[in-house]
Amino acid sequence: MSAAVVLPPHAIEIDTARMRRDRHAKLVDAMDQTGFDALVLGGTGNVNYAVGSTGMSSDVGRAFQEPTIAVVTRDGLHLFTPYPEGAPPELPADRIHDPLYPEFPEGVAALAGALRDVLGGGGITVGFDEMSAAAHALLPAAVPGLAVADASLALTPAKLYKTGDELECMRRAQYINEVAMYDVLEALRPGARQSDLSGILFRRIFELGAAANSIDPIWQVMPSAIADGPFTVHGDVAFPTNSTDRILREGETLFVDSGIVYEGYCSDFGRTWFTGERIPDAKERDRYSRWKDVIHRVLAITKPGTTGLELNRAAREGEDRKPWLDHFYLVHGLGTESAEMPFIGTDLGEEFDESIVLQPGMVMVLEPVIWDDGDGGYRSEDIVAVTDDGYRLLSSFPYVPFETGAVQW
Amino acid sequence: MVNLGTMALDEGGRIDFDRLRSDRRARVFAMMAEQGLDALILSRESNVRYATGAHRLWVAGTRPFGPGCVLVGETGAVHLMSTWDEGIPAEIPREHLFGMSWNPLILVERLQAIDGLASARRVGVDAMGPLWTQLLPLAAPEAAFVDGEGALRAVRMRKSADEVVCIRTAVAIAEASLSTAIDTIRPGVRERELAGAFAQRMTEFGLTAPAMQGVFCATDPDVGGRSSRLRRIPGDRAVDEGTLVAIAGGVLYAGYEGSVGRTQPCTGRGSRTVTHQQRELFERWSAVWTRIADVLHPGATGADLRAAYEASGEPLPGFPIALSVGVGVEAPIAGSKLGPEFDRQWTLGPGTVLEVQAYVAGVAGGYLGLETVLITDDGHEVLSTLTHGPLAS
Repeated sequence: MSAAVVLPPHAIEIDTARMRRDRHAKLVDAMDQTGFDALVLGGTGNVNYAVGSTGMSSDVGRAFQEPTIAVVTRDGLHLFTPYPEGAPPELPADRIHDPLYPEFPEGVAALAGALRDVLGGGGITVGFDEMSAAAHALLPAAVPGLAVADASLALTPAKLYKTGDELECMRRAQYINEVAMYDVLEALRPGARQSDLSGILFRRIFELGAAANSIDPIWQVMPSAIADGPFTVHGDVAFPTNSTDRILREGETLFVDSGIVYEGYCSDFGRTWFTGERIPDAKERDRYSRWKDVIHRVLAITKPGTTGLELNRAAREGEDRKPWLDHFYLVHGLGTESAEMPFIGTDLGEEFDESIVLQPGMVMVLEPVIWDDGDGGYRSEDIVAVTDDGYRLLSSFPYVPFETGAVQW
Repeated sequence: MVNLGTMALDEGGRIDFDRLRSDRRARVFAMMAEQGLDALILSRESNVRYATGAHRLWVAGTRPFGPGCVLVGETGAVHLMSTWDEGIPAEIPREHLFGMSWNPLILVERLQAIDGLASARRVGVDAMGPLWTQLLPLAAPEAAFVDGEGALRAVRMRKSADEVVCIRTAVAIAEASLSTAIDTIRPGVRERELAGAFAQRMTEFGLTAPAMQGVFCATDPDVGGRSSRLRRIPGDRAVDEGTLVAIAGGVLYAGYEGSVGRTQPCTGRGSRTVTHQQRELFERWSAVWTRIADVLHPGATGADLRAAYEASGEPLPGFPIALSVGVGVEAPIAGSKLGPEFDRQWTLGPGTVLEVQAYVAGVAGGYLGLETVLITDDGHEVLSTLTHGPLAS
């Protein structure tokens, strides 16, 4: 049978078993650093990272009721899943268990029993990424000696640096997302509805080999002035707002954002498009050019050793207005989550940005926004991986209609 | 007869969404009063949508605890985490919106500004995170944080007439989408392409987010019980001529889930050959369904559904046979690994909506069927009406 997945140019082979082994080794290192005896994970992105299993991609209202839960210990994994067919092939059968239902007291009792079986008795420190209300109320008493800790203290440092296998998964995810977007762009004509564009995207990503769509695709029609858009509590631009069956009109400016999943890894596609055949005017070209300048300034210093604060300052250099949205960031990371560490330019502040030091294997989504209130904005996203001596791009979609070919950064 | 179209809103013959939301909100506040909860802090998106009516960005899968909304008993106010008012019902005033933040301490300050929360003594939560165990007391220093999820689930499981119309609409759209996926089955089609066909048809009704990506899986012959379990995650597998393909999908209309599942043989163009063994599988499935349908009435429990399934002689499928649904899934009420005692606590009543599914396997492969069912005053109504296709005729 021919490969069902479309591959990017110069695709390198992925060894998924090695990728899972490497991730477990990193988690064990992080557990050693934090003194955790185990991690109990229910977050979809966290389970994808720790186990590499697949489950049913579903609405959050369903996902919590048929959860896949991973227990990570130093000597391996235990997977509690309603979808045993999604377990990695090397995981022994005695490590694949019936699903747990921690939303319910009876499920918490089962979870407690499983933890006692896996970890034994005595004082144990276990990192949790979240707890159901029932687990929060009942689990400590059901597992005597249990100290509940914050799993993110171990997950964050492990997830921060990607191996070559992980980077290739992300490049493929992004490639599938981008290839699908060519069909969407073709359909972006007056009279198309936002939901029509989502439909084309969904059909194509599955044809191209995506495992899942991870976010309601965004085709937001942008106003020229903030005051003409939705009310916001902070006075900045509202983004992203929901897609509906809104009918798109000639010449409207759209902020586009979408994400898919391949081998557990997320893509992140962001561009500014126009409905129909509109040619950008001088002001729009100027905004695009200023957006590029921000990217240039950031990429010029993107290499190991640079701090997040240095990137933040480079992006803002010479700008009257902070060139990103107030409720978001200049940079977010990407991996098994659509937004993970490193975050740069958030309301965590400058001290936090300064604590981020670029290292090889870090992945950054750059999402500057240029906004001229009263005249509109430009926003696109690009993904870079930090390398030993600089960076490489994981995204490659052209900046139509501002450029016709690829941009050499 | 309810018209399940999505237009003609000016005629008033549609769902009264203002009434739907105010009913839900009133029920949540009544529950808080009954349970002695001074405030409710909700994180799970389906709870937040139920209590506030907010349509926030859909993201697949679970996510960690965060204070998505705060309901305060004393003021009767609903406070919602949203940086903008798009997708937010008009009854939530702007001054009751608080912005998202990456900085938990800033979020704590925003919670501290909520009138009446600081003096709350009993606060219900629907989940908790390790960091928030330390931070929430900064916003409600006097409070004990207790399980609010169980009581809220009980509220959500009773559907109003308006809610049922939302679910009927979702089921109708799910059936249309499933029909398109069925029409896409042909020799050589890959399972994931069926998922794409389902999703694209869903968007023709203006919906852009599913309840679940769905089951689109070729079934394998079960010889000696070795392949009796249904594979439910679609992959790259190409479907062969003659194979039975199990498909089930769900969509969200105004947040409400509607799902349906059917099994179809993969046939070439113009070919409609159905084997005797395939028909036999459907007959076995039908026999399970008939037994379950007999107990789908007020007063029956999840344990009765489990017993009816088992009395058919077919093994349980390894996943719950009945889920209570509304704004998302509310509970696996029958057939889960938690056992019959767990199932016995769920008593069906008028207004309960269930997804009921059964799976049987044999040498011809397997048959999955999933129906959405409303419990009525004296029995039930099957909300899904899609044909079971050539195997049933």
